Amino acid sequence: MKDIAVNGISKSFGEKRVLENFSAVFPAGKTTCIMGESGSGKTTLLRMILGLEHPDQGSIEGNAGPMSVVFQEDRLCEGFSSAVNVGMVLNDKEDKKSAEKMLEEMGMKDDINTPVSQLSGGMKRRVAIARALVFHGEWLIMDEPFKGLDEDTRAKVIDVIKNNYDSVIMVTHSIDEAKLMNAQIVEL
Amino acid sequence: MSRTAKKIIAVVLLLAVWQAAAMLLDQKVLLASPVQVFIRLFTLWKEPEFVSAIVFSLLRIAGGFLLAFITGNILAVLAGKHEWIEILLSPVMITIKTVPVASFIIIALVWLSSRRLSIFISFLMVLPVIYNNVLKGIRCIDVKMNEMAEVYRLPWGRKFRYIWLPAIKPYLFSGTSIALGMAWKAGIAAEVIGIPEGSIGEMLFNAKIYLNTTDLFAWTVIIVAVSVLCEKAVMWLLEKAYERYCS
Repeated sequence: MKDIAVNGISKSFGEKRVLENFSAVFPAGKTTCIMGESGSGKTTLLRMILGLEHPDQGSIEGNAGPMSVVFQEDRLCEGFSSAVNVGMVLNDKEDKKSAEKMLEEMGMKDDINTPVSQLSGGMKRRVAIARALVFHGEWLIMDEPFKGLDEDTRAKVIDVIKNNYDSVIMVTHSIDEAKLMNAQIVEL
Repeated sequence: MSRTAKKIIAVVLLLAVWQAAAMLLDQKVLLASPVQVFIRLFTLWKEPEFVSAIVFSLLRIAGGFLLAFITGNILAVLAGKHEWIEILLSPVMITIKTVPVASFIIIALVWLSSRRLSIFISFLMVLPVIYNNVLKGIRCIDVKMNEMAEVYRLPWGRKFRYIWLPAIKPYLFSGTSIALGMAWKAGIAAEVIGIPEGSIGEMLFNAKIYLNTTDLFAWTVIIVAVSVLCEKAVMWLLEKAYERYCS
Protein backbone atom coordinates (compact mmCIF):
# COMPACT_ATOMS: atom_id res chain seq x y z
CA MET A 1 0.00 0.00 0.00
CA LYS A 2 1.25 3.49 -0.91
CA ASP A 3 1.75 6.48 1.37
CA ILE A 4 -0.67 9.33 0.89
CA ALA A 5 1.21 12.36 -0.40
CA VAL A 6 -0.32 15.82 -0.27
CA ASN A 7 1.54 18.10 -2.65
CA GLY A 8 1.18 21.88 -2.25
CA ILE A 9 -2.61 21.99 -2.04
CA SER A 10 -4.63 25.18 -1.65
CA LYS A 11 -8.35 25.47 -1.06
CA SER A 12 -10.71 28.43 -0.74
CA PHE A 13 -14.44 28.65 -0.06
CA GLY A 14 -15.52 31.91 -1.64
CA GLU A 15 -13.28 34.64 -0.24
CA LYS A 16 -12.06 32.46 2.62
CA ARG A 17 -8.71 30.71 2.13
CA VAL A 18 -8.78 27.51 4.16
CA LEU A 19 -5.53 25.86 3.05
CA GLU A 20 -2.54 27.44 1.36
CA ASN A 21 0.24 25.51 -0.34
CA PHE A 22 0.07 22.67 2.20
CA SER A 23 2.22 19.58 1.79
CA ALA A 24 2.56 16.45 3.93
CA VAL A 25 3.16 12.72 3.66
CA PHE A 26 0.95 10.26 5.55
CA PRO A 27 2.95 7.03 5.76
CA ALA A 28 1.16 3.74 5.19
CA GLY A 29 1.22 1.43 8.19
CA LYS A 30 1.36 4.33 10.63
CA THR A 31 -1.09 6.59 12.46
CA THR A 32 -0.92 10.31 11.76
CA CYS A 33 -2.84 12.91 13.75
CA ILE A 34 -3.68 16.23 12.14
CA MET A 35 -3.83 18.93 14.79
CA GLY A 36 -4.52 22.63 14.62
CA GLU A 37 -6.84 25.43 15.65
CA SER A 38 -10.52 25.41 14.74
CA GLY A 39 -10.98 26.62 11.17
CA SER A 40 -7.41 25.75 10.16
CA GLY A 41 -8.65 23.37 7.45
CA LYS A 42 -8.28 19.96 9.14
CA THR A 43 -11.68 18.65 8.08
CA THR A 44 -11.26 20.15 4.59
CA LEU A 45 -7.96 18.30 4.25
CA LEU A 46 -9.62 15.00 5.25
CA ARG A 47 -12.45 15.64 2.80
CA MET A 48 -9.94 16.20 0.03
CA ILE A 49 -8.12 12.98 0.92
CA LEU A 50 -11.51 11.22 0.72
CA GLY A 51 -12.23 12.82 -2.66
CA LEU A 52 -15.29 14.69 -1.35
CA GLU A 53 -13.62 18.06 -2.10
CA HIS A 54 -11.08 18.94 -4.75
CA PRO A 55 -8.07 21.21 -4.18
CA ASP A 56 -7.94 24.48 -6.12
CA GLN A 57 -4.21 23.91 -6.57
CA GLY A 58 -1.85 21.01 -5.90
CA SER A 59 -2.54 17.30 -5.86
CA ILE A 60 -3.06 14.30 -3.59
CA GLU A 61 -1.58 10.90 -4.43
CA GLY A 62 -2.14 7.44 -2.99
CA ASN A 63 -5.79 7.98 -2.02
CA ALA A 64 -7.52 6.09 -4.84
CA GLY A 65 -8.48 2.95 -2.88
CA PRO A 66 -11.49 2.43 -0.63
CA MET A 67 -11.39 4.34 2.67
CA SER A 68 -13.00 3.60 6.01
CA VAL A 69 -14.31 6.80 7.52
CA VAL A 70 -15.50 8.11 10.86
CA PHE A 71 -17.00 11.49 10.02
CA GLN A 72 -17.20 14.39 12.45
CA GLU A 73 -20.94 13.62 12.69
CA ASP A 74 -22.13 10.04 13.15
CA ARG A 75 -24.02 9.90 9.81
CA LEU A 76 -26.03 6.84 10.85
CA CYS A 77 -29.37 5.64 9.52
CA GLU A 78 -31.41 6.46 12.61
CA GLY A 79 -34.37 4.14 12.07
CA PHE A 80 -32.21 1.03 11.73
CA SER A 81 -30.45 -1.07 14.36
CA SER A 82 -26.77 -0.84 15.25
CA ALA A 83 -26.15 -4.17 13.48
CA VAL A 84 -27.83 -2.97 10.28
CA ASN A 85 -25.86 0.29 10.34
CA VAL A 86 -22.59 -1.55 10.68
CA GLY A 87 -23.55 -4.41 8.34
CA MET A 88 -24.75 -2.15 5.51
CA VAL A 89 -21.16 -1.50 4.38
CA LEU A 90 -20.45 -5.23 4.12
CA ASN A 91 -21.21 -7.51 1.22
CA ASP A 92 -22.69 -10.88 2.11
CA LYS A 93 -24.57 -12.55 4.94
CA GLU A 94 -21.41 -14.18 6.25
CA ASP A 95 -20.12 -10.73 7.00
CA LYS A 96 -23.17 -9.84 9.08
CA LYS A 97 -21.60 -11.85 11.89
CA SER A 98 -18.47 -9.72 11.72
CA ALA A 99 -20.67 -6.62 12.18
CA GLU A 100 -22.15 -8.10 15.35
CA LYS A 101 -18.71 -9.22 16.56
CA MET A 102 -17.33 -5.72 16.05
CA LEU A 103 -20.21 -4.19 18.02
CA GLU A 104 -19.52 -6.67 20.82
CA GLU A 105 -15.86 -5.64 20.82
CA MET A 106 -17.05 -2.03 21.12
CA GLY A 107 -18.95 -2.99 24.28
CA MET A 108 -22.35 -2.83 22.62
CA LYS A 109 -23.43 -6.45 22.94
CA ASP A 110 -26.79 -5.54 24.51
CA ASP A 111 -27.61 -2.94 21.87
CA ILE A 112 -26.87 -4.82 18.67
CA ASN A 113 -30.55 -4.81 17.69
CA THR A 114 -31.47 -1.47 19.23
CA PRO A 115 -32.53 1.22 16.74
CA VAL A 116 -29.79 3.84 16.56
CA SER A 117 -32.35 6.58 17.32
CA GLN A 118 -32.67 5.11 20.84
CA LEU A 119 -28.92 5.14 21.59
CA SER A 120 -26.98 7.76 23.55
CA GLY A 121 -24.48 10.06 21.81
CA GLY A 122 -21.51 7.96 22.95
CA MET A 123 -23.11 4.73 21.76
CA LYS A 124 -23.89 6.22 18.35
CA ARG A 125 -20.25 7.23 18.10
CA ARG A 126 -19.17 3.66 18.76
CA VAL A 127 -21.55 2.39 16.07
CA ALA A 128 -20.03 4.88 13.60
CA ILE A 129 -16.53 3.68 14.53
CA ALA A 130 -17.59 0.01 14.30
CA ARG A 131 -18.98 0.66 10.81
CA ALA A 132 -15.64 2.09 9.73
CA LEU A 133 -13.68 -0.78 11.24
CA VAL A 134 -15.61 -3.58 9.51
CA PHE A 135 -15.33 -1.92 6.09
CA HIS A 136 -12.36 -3.18 4.15
CA GLY A 137 -10.79 0.21 3.45
CA GLU A 138 -7.09 0.64 2.82
CA TRP A 139 -6.97 3.56 5.23
CA LEU A 140 -8.96 4.55 8.29
CA ILE A 141 -9.78 8.26 8.20
CA MET A 142 -11.28 9.74 11.37
CA ASP A 143 -12.46 13.26 12.19
CA GLU A 144 -12.59 13.82 15.97
CA PRO A 145 -13.73 10.21 16.49
CA PHE A 146 -13.77 10.10 20.29
CA LYS A 147 -16.15 13.02 20.85
CA GLY A 148 -18.65 12.08 23.55
CA LEU A 149 -16.77 8.98 24.81
CA ASP A 150 -15.69 8.69 28.45
CA GLU A 151 -12.02 7.86 29.17
CA ASP A 152 -12.51 4.13 29.78
CA THR A 153 -14.61 3.64 26.66
CA ARG A 154 -12.16 5.71 24.64
CA ALA A 155 -9.24 3.52 25.77
CA LYS A 156 -11.18 0.37 24.89
CA VAL A 157 -12.17 1.75 21.47
CA ILE A 158 -8.58 2.81 20.73
CA ASP A 159 -7.43 -0.76 21.45
CA VAL A 160 -9.98 -2.12 18.99
CA ILE A 161 -8.92 0.43 16.35
CA LYS A 162 -5.24 -0.47 16.79
CA ASN A 163 -6.05 -4.18 16.42
CA ASN A 164 -7.88 -3.58 13.15
CA TYR A 165 -6.06 -0.78 11.33
CA ASP A 166 -2.48 0.34 11.07
CA SER A 167 -2.82 3.02 8.37
CA VAL A 168 -4.76 5.78 10.07
CA ILE A 169 -5.24 9.51 9.59
CA MET A 170 -7.07 11.23 12.42
CA VAL A 171 -8.09 14.78 13.21
CA THR A 172 -8.02 15.60 16.90
CA HIS A 173 -7.66 18.54 19.29
CA SER A 174 -6.31 16.27 22.05
CA ILE A 175 -2.62 15.50 22.44
CA ASP A 176 -3.64 12.65 24.80
CA GLU A 177 -5.56 10.97 21.99
CA ALA A 178 -2.56 11.35 19.68
CA LYS A 179 -0.34 9.72 22.31
CA LEU A 180 -2.81 6.89 22.94
CA MET A 181 -2.87 6.20 19.21
CA ASN A 182 0.97 6.24 19.06
CA ALA A 183 0.61 8.78 16.29
CA GLN A 184 2.96 11.11 14.52
CA ILE A 185 1.59 14.64 14.43
CA VAL A 186 1.05 16.97 11.49
CA GLU A 187 0.33 20.59 12.49
CA LEU A 188 -1.93 22.75 10.36
CA MET B 1 -60.95 14.66 27.24
CA SER B 2 -59.33 12.42 24.62
CA ARG B 3 -58.85 13.55 21.03
CA THR B 4 -61.26 10.86 19.79
CA ALA B 5 -63.97 12.10 22.18
CA LYS B 6 -63.48 15.65 20.92
CA LYS B 7 -63.77 14.44 17.32
CA ILE B 8 -67.01 12.59 18.13
CA ILE B 9 -68.43 15.76 19.72
CA ALA B 10 -67.49 17.75 16.58
CA VAL B 11 -69.32 15.22 14.35
CA VAL B 12 -72.40 15.23 16.62
CA LEU B 13 -72.40 19.04 16.59
CA LEU B 14 -72.23 19.09 12.78
CA LEU B 15 -75.12 16.60 12.55
CA ALA B 16 -77.15 18.72 15.00
CA VAL B 17 -76.62 21.87 12.92
CA TRP B 18 -77.52 19.94 9.75
CA GLN B 19 -80.70 18.54 11.39
CA ALA B 20 -81.71 22.00 12.69
CA ALA B 21 -81.16 23.58 9.23
CA ALA B 22 -83.22 20.84 7.53
CA MET B 23 -86.03 21.28 10.06
CA LEU B 24 -86.01 25.06 9.59
CA LEU B 25 -86.12 24.76 5.78
CA ASP B 26 -88.60 21.92 5.90
CA GLN B 27 -88.03 21.21 2.19
CA LYS B 28 -86.73 17.68 1.54
CA VAL B 29 -85.82 18.62 -2.03
CA LEU B 30 -83.52 21.42 -0.87
CA LEU B 31 -82.00 19.79 2.18
CA ALA B 32 -82.64 16.27 3.44
CA SER B 33 -82.14 15.85 7.18
CA PRO B 34 -79.56 13.44 8.65
CA VAL B 35 -82.39 11.32 10.02
CA GLN B 36 -83.94 10.99 6.55
CA VAL B 37 -80.54 10.17 5.07
CA PHE B 38 -79.91 7.55 7.76
CA ILE B 39 -83.31 5.92 7.09
CA ARG B 40 -82.56 5.92 3.34
CA LEU B 41 -79.14 4.36 3.95
CA PHE B 42 -80.85 1.60 5.89
CA THR B 43 -83.02 0.71 2.90
CA LEU B 44 -80.39 1.46 0.26
CA TRP B 45 -77.99 -1.30 1.25
CA LYS B 46 -80.69 -3.90 0.56
CA GLU B 47 -81.06 -2.76 -3.06
CA PRO B 48 -79.32 -4.98 -5.66
CA GLU B 49 -77.22 -2.19 -7.20
CA PHE B 50 -75.86 -1.01 -3.85
CA VAL B 51 -72.88 -3.38 -3.58
CA SER B 52 -72.26 -3.59 -7.33
CA ALA B 53 -72.14 0.21 -7.68
CA ILE B 54 -69.64 0.50 -4.83
CA VAL B 55 -67.50 -2.32 -6.24
CA PHE B 56 -67.65 -0.80 -9.74
CA SER B 57 -66.42 2.62 -8.59
CA LEU B 58 -64.02 1.28 -5.96
CA LEU B 59 -62.20 -1.02 -8.40
CA ARG B 60 -61.76 1.71 -10.98
CA ILE B 61 -60.77 4.52 -8.63
CA ALA B 62 -58.47 2.26 -6.61
CA GLY B 63 -56.97 0.93 -9.85
CA GLY B 64 -56.27 4.46 -11.11
CA PHE B 65 -54.80 5.39 -7.74
CA LEU B 66 -52.55 2.32 -7.62
CA LEU B 67 -51.26 2.89 -11.15
CA ALA B 68 -50.52 6.53 -10.38
CA PHE B 69 -48.92 5.64 -7.02
CA ILE B 70 -46.50 3.21 -8.70
CA THR B 71 -45.83 5.46 -11.69
CA GLY B 72 -45.43 8.58 -9.53
CA ASN B 73 -42.92 6.87 -7.27
CA ILE B 74 -40.89 5.43 -10.14
CA LEU B 75 -40.83 8.76 -11.99
CA ALA B 76 -39.87 10.67 -8.82
CA VAL B 77 -36.98 8.28 -8.10
CA LEU B 78 -35.78 8.59 -11.71
CA ALA B 79 -36.11 12.39 -11.56
CA GLY B 80 -34.26 12.37 -8.24
CA LYS B 81 -31.38 10.48 -9.84
CA HIS B 82 -31.30 12.30 -13.18
CA GLU B 83 -32.06 16.02 -13.32
CA TRP B 84 -32.87 15.89 -17.04
CA ILE B 85 -35.84 13.61 -16.30
CA GLU B 86 -37.16 16.16 -13.78
CA ILE B 87 -36.81 18.93 -16.39
CA LEU B 88 -38.48 16.77 -19.03
CA LEU B 89 -41.42 15.92 -16.74
CA SER B 90 -41.83 19.41 -15.31
CA PRO B 91 -44.20 20.80 -18.03
CA VAL B 92 -46.22 17.57 -18.04
CA MET B 93 -46.77 17.68 -14.27
CA ILE B 94 -47.58 21.41 -14.27
CA THR B 95 -50.12 20.87 -17.06
CA ILE B 96 -51.82 17.98 -15.25
CA LYS B 97 -51.90 20.03 -12.04
CA THR B 98 -53.37 23.20 -13.52
CA VAL B 99 -55.81 21.99 -16.22
CA PRO B 100 -59.33 21.76 -14.72
CA VAL B 101 -60.42 18.20 -14.05
CA ALA B 102 -63.63 18.79 -16.07
CA SER B 103 -61.52 19.50 -19.18
CA PHE B 104 -59.67 16.21 -18.74
CA ILE B 105 -62.95 14.36 -18.23
CA ILE B 106 -64.45 15.74 -21.43
CA ILE B 107 -61.27 15.07 -23.44
CA ALA B 108 -61.02 11.55 -21.99
CA LEU B 109 -64.64 10.85 -22.92
CA VAL B 110 -63.63 11.32 -26.55
CA TRP B 111 -60.79 8.80 -26.20
CA LEU B 112 -62.16 6.23 -23.77
CA SER B 113 -65.37 4.43 -22.94
CA SER B 114 -67.15 5.92 -19.93
CA ARG B 115 -66.55 2.66 -18.03
CA ARG B 116 -62.79 3.34 -18.02
CA LEU B 117 -63.06 7.06 -17.45
CA SER B 118 -62.69 7.06 -13.65
CA ILE B 119 -59.49 4.94 -13.83
CA PHE B 120 -57.89 7.48 -16.13
CA ILE B 121 -59.09 10.55 -14.22
CA SER B 122 -58.07 9.29 -10.78
CA PHE B 123 -54.69 8.28 -12.27
CA LEU B 124 -54.26 11.78 -13.65
CA MET B 125 -55.17 13.52 -10.38
CA VAL B 126 -52.97 11.31 -8.20
CA LEU B 127 -49.86 11.19 -10.39
CA PRO B 128 -48.55 14.78 -9.86
CA VAL B 129 -49.32 14.70 -6.12
CA ILE B 130 -47.31 11.51 -5.52
CA TYR B 131 -44.56 12.56 -7.95
CA ASN B 132 -44.10 16.03 -6.45
CA ASN B 133 -44.20 14.86 -2.83
CA VAL B 134 -41.74 12.00 -3.31
CA LEU B 135 -39.40 14.19 -5.35
CA LYS B 136 -39.51 16.85 -2.63
CA GLY B 137 -38.53 14.15 -0.11
CA ILE B 138 -35.64 13.01 -2.31
CA ARG B 139 -34.44 16.61 -2.66
CA CYS B 140 -34.42 16.93 1.16
CA ILE B 141 -32.07 13.96 1.67
CA ASP B 142 -29.12 15.04 3.79
CA VAL B 143 -26.06 15.57 1.57
CA LYS B 144 -23.92 14.16 4.39
CA MET B 145 -25.72 10.81 4.20
CA ASN B 146 -25.14 10.71 0.44
CA GLU B 147 -21.45 11.36 1.09
CA MET B 148 -21.39 8.49 3.58
CA ALA B 149 -22.95 6.22 0.94
CA GLU B 150 -20.41 7.40 -1.63
CA VAL B 151 -17.39 6.83 0.63
CA TYR B 152 -18.59 3.36 1.64
CA ARG B 153 -19.49 2.59 -1.98
CA LEU B 154 -23.00 1.48 -1.04
CA PRO B 155 -24.81 -0.17 -3.95
CA TRP B 156 -27.88 1.70 -5.24
CA GLY B 157 -30.34 -0.74 -3.63
CA ARG B 158 -28.91 -0.24 -0.15
CA LYS B 159 -28.68 3.50 -0.57
CA PHE B 160 -32.35 3.51 -1.60
CA ARG B 161 -33.46 1.33 1.31
CA TYR B 162 -31.37 2.83 4.10
CA ILE B 163 -31.19 6.51 3.09
CA TRP B 164 -33.82 7.39 0.50
CA LEU B 165 -36.83 5.45 1.81
CA PRO B 166 -36.67 6.84 5.39
CA ALA B 167 -36.11 10.36 4.05
CA ILE B 168 -39.12 10.33 1.74
CA LYS B 169 -41.46 8.71 4.29
CA PRO B 170 -43.18 11.88 5.63
CA TYR B 171 -43.57 13.26 2.10
CA LEU B 172 -44.90 9.96 0.72
CA PHE B 173 -47.40 9.58 3.57
CA SER B 174 -48.76 13.10 3.32
CA GLY B 175 -48.91 12.89 -0.50
CA THR B 176 -50.71 9.54 -0.37
CA SER B 177 -53.30 10.82 2.08
CA ILE B 178 -54.04 13.91 -0.05
CA ALA B 179 -54.00 11.91 -3.29
CA LEU B 180 -56.51 9.33 -2.01
CA GLY B 181 -59.08 12.03 -1.30
CA MET B 182 -58.45 13.58 -4.71
CA ALA B 183 -58.80 10.21 -6.46
CA TRP B 184 -62.29 9.75 -5.03
CA LYS B 185 -63.43 13.32 -5.69
CA ALA B 186 -62.17 13.34 -9.28
CA GLY B 187 -63.18 9.72 -9.98
CA ILE B 188 -66.77 10.27 -8.88
CA ALA B 189 -66.94 13.60 -10.76
CA ALA B 190 -65.84 11.72 -13.89
CA GLU B 191 -68.58 9.12 -13.34
CA VAL B 192 -71.25 11.82 -12.88
CA ILE B 193 -70.24 13.37 -16.22
CA GLY B 194 -69.59 10.11 -18.11
CA ILE B 195 -72.48 8.20 -16.42
CA PRO B 196 -71.07 4.66 -16.77
CA GLU B 197 -73.82 2.15 -16.09
CA GLY B 198 -73.84 0.70 -12.59
CA SER B 199 -71.47 3.21 -11.00
CA ILE B 200 -71.88 5.41 -7.92
CA GLY B 201 -71.64 8.37 -10.31
CA GLU B 202 -74.74 7.09 -12.15
CA MET B 203 -76.60 6.85 -8.82
CA LEU B 204 -75.68 10.46 -8.04
CA PHE B 205 -76.70 11.55 -11.53
CA ASN B 206 -80.09 9.83 -11.20
CA ALA B 207 -80.61 11.42 -7.80
CA LYS B 208 -80.01 14.81 -9.38
CA ILE B 209 -82.34 14.12 -12.37
CA TYR B 210 -85.20 13.01 -10.09
CA LEU B 211 -84.46 15.75 -7.53
CA ASN B 212 -84.00 12.98 -4.96
CA THR B 213 -81.89 14.90 -2.44
CA THR B 214 -82.12 12.15 0.17
CA ASP B 215 -80.53 9.66 -2.25
CA LEU B 216 -77.91 12.24 -3.20
CA PHE B 217 -76.96 12.71 0.44
CA ALA B 218 -77.09 8.97 1.16
CA TRP B 219 -74.72 8.15 -1.74
CA THR B 220 -72.46 11.02 -0.67
CA VAL B 221 -72.26 9.53 2.82
CA ILE B 222 -71.35 6.18 1.25
CA ILE B 223 -68.62 7.80 -0.89
CA VAL B 224 -67.16 9.52 2.18
CA ALA B 225 -67.26 6.27 4.19
CA VAL B 226 -65.61 4.17 1.43
CA SER B 227 -63.03 6.89 0.79
CA VAL B 228 -62.11 7.09 4.50
CA LEU B 229 -61.90 3.28 4.74
CA CYS B 230 -59.65 3.21 1.67
CA GLU B 231 -57.40 5.86 3.16
CA LYS B 232 -57.12 3.99 6.46
CA ALA B 233 -56.34 0.72 4.66
CA VAL B 234 -53.71 2.22 2.35
CA MET B 235 -52.01 4.17 5.16
CA TRP B 236 -51.97 1.02 7.32
CA LEU B 237 -50.42 -0.99 4.49
CA LEU B 238 -47.80 1.71 3.88
CA GLU B 239 -46.94 1.84 7.58
CA LYS B 240 -46.57 -1.96 7.67
CA ALA B 241 -44.39 -1.92 4.56
CA TYR B 242 -42.16 0.70 6.16
CA GLU B 243 -41.98 -1.27 9.43
CA ARG B 244 -40.85 -4.30 7.46
CA TYR B 245 -38.30 -2.72 5.14
CA CYS B 246 -37.14 0.36 7.04
CA SER B 247 -36.41 -0.75 10.56
